[in-house]
Amino acid sequence: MPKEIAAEFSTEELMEFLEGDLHPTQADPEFKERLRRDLWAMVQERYGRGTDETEH
Amino acid sequence: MSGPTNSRAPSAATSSALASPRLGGKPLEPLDTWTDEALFAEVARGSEPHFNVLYERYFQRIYAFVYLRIRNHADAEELTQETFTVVFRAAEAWGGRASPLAWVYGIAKNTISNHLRRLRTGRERLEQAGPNPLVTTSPIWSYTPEEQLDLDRCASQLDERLSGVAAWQAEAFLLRHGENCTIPEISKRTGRSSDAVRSGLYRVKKLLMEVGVDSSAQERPE
Repeated sequence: MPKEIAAEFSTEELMEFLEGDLHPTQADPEFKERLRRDLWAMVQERYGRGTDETEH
Repeated sequence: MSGPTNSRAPSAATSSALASPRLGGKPLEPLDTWTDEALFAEVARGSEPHFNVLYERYFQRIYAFVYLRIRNHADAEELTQETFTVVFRAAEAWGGRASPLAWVYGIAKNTISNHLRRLRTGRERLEQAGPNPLVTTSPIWSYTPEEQLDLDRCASQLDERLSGVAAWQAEAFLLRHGENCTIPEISKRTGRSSDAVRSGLYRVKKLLMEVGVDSSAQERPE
């Protein structure tokens, strides 16, 4: 019996979401990297640089 | 639940984090085995390796989820960006009330719904405008003579600007926005490099935006 992971969405919906990991559709690699850089810049601005000792 | 471990090889940015020991000299689990909750917590502390793992974990699933519903790469990129922006801007507001997976899924779903709603609204307006949307007598979507003149001027400038664009650039623009082709596909069909295709698309987009700016400038008397 499948369990609800969250009250709002069914397990089936979330499994469909996870199946995207295996879908053949691929984004443009340059878009992916550009987005990563832009998002990281936004995160840094929002949360500030961390003092995590693993960062090097 | 954070979903299955991402089976793809980690990027260079995360490789060092996967191998490096942490506090107290005791090696911890590789980052790609961490739960989403733990990764989000470290991102909020400003850790790029943890951010990279989360991004890598969710990028393909968000992109594929969006693309399967929108069937347009250009829009899928925009909506993927919008989804991720909401996720990382609101990460501190997530509050652990639902699983991160469900939370991110909800954001992606809402982003798509909003996009489809905007498309529907745009289509309805065009339908109301009739067969020639630049000239209409509809009381809902009608123009004053001055507005009609501005539209005609704008259309004329558009034609003039696009005539100055290289044929392959115009073709690339149509392939991207009309046929939903990816950059590599356009590159192959036009025989141009991916960088050249991107530059060309940017140039056409800029020209189209300049037409809008010029039209606005002409409206306002000095």
